[in-house]
Amino acid sequence: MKTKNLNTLSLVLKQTAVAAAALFFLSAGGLVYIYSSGTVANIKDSPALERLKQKLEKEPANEALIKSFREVDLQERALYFGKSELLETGAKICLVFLMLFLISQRGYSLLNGRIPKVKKGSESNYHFGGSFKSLPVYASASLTGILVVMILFLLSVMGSARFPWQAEKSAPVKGAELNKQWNGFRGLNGRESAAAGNYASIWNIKSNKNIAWKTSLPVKGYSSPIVYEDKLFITGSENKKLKVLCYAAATGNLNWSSPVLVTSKQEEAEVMTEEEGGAGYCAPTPVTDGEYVYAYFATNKLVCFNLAGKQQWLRDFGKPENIYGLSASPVLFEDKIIIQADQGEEGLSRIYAVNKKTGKIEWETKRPDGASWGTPLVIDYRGRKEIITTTKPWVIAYAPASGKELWKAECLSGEVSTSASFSDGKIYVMSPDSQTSTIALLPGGTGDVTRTNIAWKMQEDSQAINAPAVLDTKIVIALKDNIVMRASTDGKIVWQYKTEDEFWASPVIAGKKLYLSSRGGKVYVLTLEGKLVNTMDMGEEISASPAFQTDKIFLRTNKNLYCLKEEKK
Amino acid sequence: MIAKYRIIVLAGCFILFGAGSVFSSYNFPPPEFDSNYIKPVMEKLPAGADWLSYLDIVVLLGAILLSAWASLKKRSRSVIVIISLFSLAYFGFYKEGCICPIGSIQNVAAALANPGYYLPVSVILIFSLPLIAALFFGRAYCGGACPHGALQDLLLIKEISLPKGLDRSLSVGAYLYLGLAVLFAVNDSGFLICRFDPFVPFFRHTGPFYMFVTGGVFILLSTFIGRPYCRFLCPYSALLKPLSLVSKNKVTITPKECIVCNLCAASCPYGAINEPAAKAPDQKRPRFFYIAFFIAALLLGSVLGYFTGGFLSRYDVNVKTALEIHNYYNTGTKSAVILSENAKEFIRKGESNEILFTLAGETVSHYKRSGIFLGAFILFVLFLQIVYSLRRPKREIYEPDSARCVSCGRCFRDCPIHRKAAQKENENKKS
Repeated sequence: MKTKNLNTLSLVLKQTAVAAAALFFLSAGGLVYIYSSGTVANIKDSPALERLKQKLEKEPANEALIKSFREVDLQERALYFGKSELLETGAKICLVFLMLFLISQRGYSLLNGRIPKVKKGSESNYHFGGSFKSLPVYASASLTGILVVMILFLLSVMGSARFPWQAEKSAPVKGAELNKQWNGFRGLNGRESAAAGNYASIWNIKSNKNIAWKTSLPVKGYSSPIVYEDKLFITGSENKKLKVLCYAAATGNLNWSSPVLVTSKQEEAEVMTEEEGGAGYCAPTPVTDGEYVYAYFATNKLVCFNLAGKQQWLRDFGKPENIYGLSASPVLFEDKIIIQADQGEEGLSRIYAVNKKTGKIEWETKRPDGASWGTPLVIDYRGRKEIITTTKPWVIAYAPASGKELWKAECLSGEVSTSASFSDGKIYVMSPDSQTSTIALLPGGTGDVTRTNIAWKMQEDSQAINAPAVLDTKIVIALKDNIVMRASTDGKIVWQYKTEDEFWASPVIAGKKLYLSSRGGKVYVLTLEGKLVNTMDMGEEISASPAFQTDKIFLRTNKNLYCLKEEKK
Repeated sequence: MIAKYRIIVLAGCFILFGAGSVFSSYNFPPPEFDSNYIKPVMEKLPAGADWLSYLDIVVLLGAILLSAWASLKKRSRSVIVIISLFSLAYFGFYKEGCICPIGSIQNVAAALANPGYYLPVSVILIFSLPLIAALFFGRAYCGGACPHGALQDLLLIKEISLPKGLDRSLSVGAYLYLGLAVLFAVNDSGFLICRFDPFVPFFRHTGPFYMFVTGGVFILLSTFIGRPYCRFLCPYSALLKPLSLVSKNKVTITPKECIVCNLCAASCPYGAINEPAAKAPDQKRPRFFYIAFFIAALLLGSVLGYFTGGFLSRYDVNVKTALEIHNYYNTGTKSAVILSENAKEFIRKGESNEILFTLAGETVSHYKRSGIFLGAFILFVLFLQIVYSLRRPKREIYEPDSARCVSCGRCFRDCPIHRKAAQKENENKKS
């Protein structure tokens, strides 16, 4: 009786297994058919809806079209969600059949498992086993080795080709790695962050620890150093005489020091000096394209030198009328040098594009009256290039090719000395009134975008006169007595670090660290998480932002120029 | 005839289970344009309590220890099957296959390469517990605690035994996969093992279609090839194998003396039982040849790996986007270029091309540098594979290959000595 029951159970399990397996394959096949039978990947990709949308854009008030759009939209949704639901349910059904098959098949195997029996003479293999049987294994292992090496070789050949942008990059910069150059104010394209490198985060001017070289400066000026391959450039004045100096980046030896040769009588333009509380003659930082170096001075003159120190041309924009002195740095864009000269006198403020080879003005555009001191920034937004400028009360964008005004936003107040930064699809500017505000703007658009393009505005608790440093979705702002990191998405504070110091130099992000040089003569090195790594006292005021190259930091203090490099252990 | 009808009736009943839901219609309101519709705030499920992750670790440890006990002490295939069913239900369908020791390889690799990567203690434990257990009990984790292994083991219906050479060659795949997964993880380019896990879509009842297809292929293969994923692809098995070779307690086929009957070898669907063999005649191997071969293999691997890294970097999102963006801005007809979502987003955000190219360049360099280790590792594995195949140790009985044995317990069931001992034990208990 017991055996009969077991036999019946075994039969039922077998039949269940067969039925479940058949249905599993049937439903799986059905699912594959449903999946591949023209379901749109997403409703928004529907060609029918796209066609209607285009029609609606042309005739937005067409009621019949709106009705038809709604109907098609409903049909497409019904199709999409219906099939999604069907696939999901079908997958569960498949799974249930699979489980049923497994359970019944296991049960059947258990009831019908046969006990294997020892075969006579099975031990005869014993004497011959290893030596002959391992030969195919050896041959197979060797073949696998050869096959894998061949695949690796093939991938290596495919991987040894240069990437297209790498091939292009090498031509204009003559072998130098462009991203390692610090060729203008706030580095390459004003991005204020250096390529990854192992930069010194500690040094000592007394013990000379990590000081590769130091040289005293024969000139004064607030401009920052720039470095290109093995050459370092600074500008400065010596008894009102304007100079461009070139040093060997490796040793600090002076290669040349060339005075600016002027022909106009306007050379005697008076500028409020550093001692008088002004920006002095040499606040703008020069810029280089690797072939020439272009320097702009508070006398409103742009000069081009070749790398041997010979003056090529000079462009005079007229007598300056700026209370503290012009301090916007020249910006290199393709074959043009962009100069922003905002002045106090009515009708004098201009933005110029000068041909970098000839020194001729390619275009000039009138700007709102009133002096400002920020440097323009060229951004690439959705393939459209824009020159972003700041003045009171506007942030104005221009087309680099024509100088045509693209858009403007009214959001700045006070004496605008801050420059814009760009990252994560937003422009960040600071309004340095009695209390500084940080503002995020969306680029693009036309006309006055004040109402539409201000993403967020945050009030700071003290003043700033520099430019924020940006890295992906983070913005670092160096305020008086406070360093703040904000999130680019909503402007919320990520962290802040309190100091009792003031920052004229803009912060820089390099080698995953933050470098801030203070007027008090200190250099603060912080992690990107806001933790202090070290503070180095340079013993004299610092107004210039440091320059970074590979593993070296070039720092200009009031009277000296330093090269800081981590010593090899 | 009656049997056929019964199958049809059974099938009809099963269809009725799911028919209702298949043919039900999906109802939702039509879209509105006129009312001031406010998008609902997306609700995020609260994160699971911390103690729950530790509970999983306790369950994992329990499953491993039970599996070790069942294979080493109790010597019971039935107990191992019960543990497997539990692991499949709990770690597979309840915990949906995440986080598992297999995938945790990538978390650990990413944390080792990037000090800023947060690696929870629970993940460290999940990664290391089966490895530590392998040092004491062999592959007890594979035997009963791994849901992937359990699923394949239970699916095996009619096994076909693969030729030993083919089996050994295919098993190199696990090391290649391990190397690639680590390369992608240390370069922050994604977790390959998770992205291409063939069984997780079944555990979660959802996933991309290609995952269901690969999963389906592995499920079909599992019905006639013993544990194809574990043997030929699982990167965790590549770590467990060398540790199991030196494990303190090893699985034995028979509780007493082996009578060299050959039944165990026939019962093992994984080709993990070594046959008796006479020792090969002594041959003086030129040791310097092996050393030179080894060094040459490492050097060749490093060079090939360096350039292979350059090729593989194309699968990193930065490099891929940079290639697309470069192509987009350097093609006369921009509209003809089909862009990925990442590239579209990059253009929408208006970021600088140059920074993207710089980032991509840095990624390529990282890939090339880490490719050196990948290449050296692969050639090292191939070298060992060839050297191992030349070994001919003397063996008088059938023994499990410690590296390949997954402690499934099939060989106990078929061993006449084991059956005899079990029968005797049962009789003693009855009496």
